[in-house]
Amino acid sequence: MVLMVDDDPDVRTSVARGLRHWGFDVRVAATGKEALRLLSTESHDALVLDVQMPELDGVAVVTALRALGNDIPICVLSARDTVNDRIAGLEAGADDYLTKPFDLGELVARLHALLRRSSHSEEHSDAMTVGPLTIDTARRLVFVAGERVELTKREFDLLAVLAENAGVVLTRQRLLELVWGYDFDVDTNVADVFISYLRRKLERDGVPRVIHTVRGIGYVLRDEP
Amino acid sequence: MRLRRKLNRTVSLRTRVAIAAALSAAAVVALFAVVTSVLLVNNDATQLDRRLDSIIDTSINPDRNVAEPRGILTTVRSRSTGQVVYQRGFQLPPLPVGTSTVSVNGVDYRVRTVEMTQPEGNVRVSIGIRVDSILMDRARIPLYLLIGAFAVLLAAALGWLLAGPAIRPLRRLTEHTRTLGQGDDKMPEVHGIREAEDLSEAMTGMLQRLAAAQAATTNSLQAAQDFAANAAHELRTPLTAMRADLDTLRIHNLPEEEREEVVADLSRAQRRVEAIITALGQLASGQLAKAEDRESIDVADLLERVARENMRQSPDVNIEVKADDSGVIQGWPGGLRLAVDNLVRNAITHGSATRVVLTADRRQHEMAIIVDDNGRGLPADEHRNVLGRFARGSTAAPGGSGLGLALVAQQAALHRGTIELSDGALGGLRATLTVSTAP
Repeated sequence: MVLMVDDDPDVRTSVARGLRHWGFDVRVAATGKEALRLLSTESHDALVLDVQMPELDGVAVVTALRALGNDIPICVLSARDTVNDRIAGLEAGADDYLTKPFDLGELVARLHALLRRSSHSEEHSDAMTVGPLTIDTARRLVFVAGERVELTKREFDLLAVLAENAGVVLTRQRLLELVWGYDFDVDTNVADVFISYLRRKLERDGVPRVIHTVRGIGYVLRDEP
Repeated sequence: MRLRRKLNRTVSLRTRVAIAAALSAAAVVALFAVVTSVLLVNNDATQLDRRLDSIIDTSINPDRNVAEPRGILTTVRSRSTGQVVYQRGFQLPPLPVGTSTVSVNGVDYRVRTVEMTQPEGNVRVSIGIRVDSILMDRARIPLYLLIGAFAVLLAAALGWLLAGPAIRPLRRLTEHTRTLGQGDDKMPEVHGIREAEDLSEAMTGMLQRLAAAQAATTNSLQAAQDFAANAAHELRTPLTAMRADLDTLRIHNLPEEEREEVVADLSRAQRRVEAIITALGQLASGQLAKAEDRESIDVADLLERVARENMRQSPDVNIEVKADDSGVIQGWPGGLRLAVDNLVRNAITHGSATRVVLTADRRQHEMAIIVDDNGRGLPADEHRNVLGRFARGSTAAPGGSGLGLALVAQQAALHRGTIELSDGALGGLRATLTVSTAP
């Protein structure tokens, strides 16, 4: 069941109707408060969330959900194509974003992928170490030079994929496939945005860069520059 | 500030330069006077000594007929014969009575000739003394010129040194001006010269005016940016619904009934986009309203027209006009009608009113146009906020542009008036639009 949250009745009606025709079971909510209430009483599989809403906005809803330990896949909808809004939603723990107006098929494909991803959990038993970085996949913990670093679920998944393929250059397309489950052609820079979050969190206190950009190709995790 | 400055006005640059020049001149004159007087005293002493030598020479050897450099030449001639009766030193030529300069053996002598009456007969006595024994040495003229030149240079150097402190505030001002625009745009307070202080004050004023102008530009630019972002957001919202509806129609083969519902939603969203664009255009033209386009507006006539048009569109609504003797005001008829029309349409669309009363009330310097309705009203804490651009009341019907009341507020400001919302007498909302009646 997918929960669609938007303060505008036209958008709510049209998008929910579209999703229903694609076979989703859709619930709607007009405010952030209503969304949180619905999510606390019933279990949902995914959340489509407008960022700009009066009172409790999308970012606050994501923050609240993640603080409560709810890791439901969240796709935020932003009406402004400024970078700040995306970062706000994604940084709080959302998994992906779409800029309004968007192709309904695009939203459907991403929702399917996100739902698939969340249903199967990755099986890694041991910890991985790359340079100053230690990743405890069993407990989903990350340490940089002995210090624990807080990562959102999607940030952790991305780092884990990079670590499993340490030394191997992964293209954006491959990352979207491995981390988000987007095995279709998708026009998004969400991978780059999350790489920048990871770098910011991992490179604190002068720790040298471990995630390197291979220009024109993608990203690679390795110890030496 | 002015008074304080008047009372202890600082010295002007002119005065400072004058003082510096006077000081340097005084120093040079003083030095020169000392040097000259020393030279003159020495010269006087030498002359006196020479004269003494001559006198001694003459007194001791009155008859020695020798030419000595410092000697005095004496030639006595008989007046009647012109015969030399006495001679000391070189012979002087015969001269008339008086003083003259003659050359004897290549040496210039200053000679005075007098007549004397003696028992032996009248004689004419000529006594000559070397010119160079009295006057200053010509050879020293270059030295004096050198001293003069030195004095001029000294005066220049002194002037340079003394002018330095005099114009120091100006130089500080220049240096500060040079660094302006590199972060700190404050003028320092400069003291010491009135001209520099005035200049500094004038520049501070100029900088403040520039900063104010820049701030105004930045503000309006920011406002324009915010507005553009808001407008984009407002347009994206219905477009999102439209895109979703179009995708639904395109991908799925919907049954006739559902298809009609989607198409109806699509056309509503399309109208919403249209309404936003229309309102944006009206806002822009309100911003561009020109003073020369002002006309006389018959308020009663305007209200009647608004009432008639709205009743035609919404036949269930009764609109009453109370505008007897409201007269004529100066303004932009299109804009004012748009404002009143928006208020009436808000009452019908968002307030679900069935009765609207339009009242025109002429007061002292303003005309109040009051729109009362019996609709569901608006919570009091929203009365002010809904006037903003893209602001909607919590009770508003969906599909509005969010710009209607912003347009009313713009027209109110344009007509030098106000717009105020309050709880109305008919149970709904009351909108009071005032416009100035001043010409």
